[in-house]
Amino acid sequence: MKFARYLLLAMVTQWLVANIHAGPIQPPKGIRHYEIGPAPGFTLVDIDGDRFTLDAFRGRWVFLHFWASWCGPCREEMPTIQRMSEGFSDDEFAVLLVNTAEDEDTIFSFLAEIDTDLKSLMDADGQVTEKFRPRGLPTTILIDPQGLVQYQAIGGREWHQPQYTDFLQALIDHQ
Amino acid sequence: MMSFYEARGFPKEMLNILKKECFITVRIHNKSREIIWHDLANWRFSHEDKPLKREHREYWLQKWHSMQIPLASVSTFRWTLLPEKLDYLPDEEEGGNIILPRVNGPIALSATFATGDDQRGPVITITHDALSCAEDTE
Repeated sequence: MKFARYLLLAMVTQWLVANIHAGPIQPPKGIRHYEIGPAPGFTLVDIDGDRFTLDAFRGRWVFLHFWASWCGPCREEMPTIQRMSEGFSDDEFAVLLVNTAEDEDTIFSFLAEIDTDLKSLMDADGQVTEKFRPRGLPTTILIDPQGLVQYQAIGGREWHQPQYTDFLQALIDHQ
Repeated sequence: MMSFYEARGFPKEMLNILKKECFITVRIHNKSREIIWHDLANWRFSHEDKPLKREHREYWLQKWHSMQIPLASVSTFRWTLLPEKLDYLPDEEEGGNIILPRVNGPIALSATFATGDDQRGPVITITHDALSCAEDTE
């Protein structure tokens, strides 16, 4: 009985120590903590006309990527997002692309040209993008399962590289 | 720059105003180990030793709103501008356009940047005496 008490005490202590020291996961270079509170809600349609509401993704990490066809790094980054997304299940991690202020034809041509299966939401007047106050395009915002903005990745990244996939996996495992 | 905006369907009245301006395209890359603080208020442009007045981005955004320019064009325009203020962590880079009055001939620049976590590190000064307006290449 005494041993069981000690064991329980040890387990509780270990849990407390682990959680007190956990804190936010340290991101790799190019990704910053970006704690602006709850992610602004939005509903947007994709090029097939399907509606997406950010709230529907509550409960998992959301990779929210803002892009435009005229931005050079966006073109290089998109295939790496596709490769990265193939390594995660939709149930644990949602990848949402949002095109900023371009028309349907431009978006369709761009996505066809870079040969990606990723679908993009259309922020036709750019006002959803404005709400997130990204530093520039492209920008990726990482939103935690509680709907809080936690990180911002600035400029183009090679998302399929282990330094990023390991970080994203750590976020998922940590939730 | 005009062909860039034309290709994105910017309204004619917007293009007519922008084509009278001078666009300088800037890319800033922090190759140091310190934070570098960019503030366009610390950039001085001149032509033939006379200062060139740069309008703040809010001037342009208000102008487009007063002209009832479609929000999509305003948004794209905004994203092509160099931010007024930005902090750059080591190895971060970000760029954009600066709009000045159009002049014939070289433009001189003197810009200062604070450094360090508390902005009290050594000041970086950059000078250039022969900038030129971006011309259409598309």
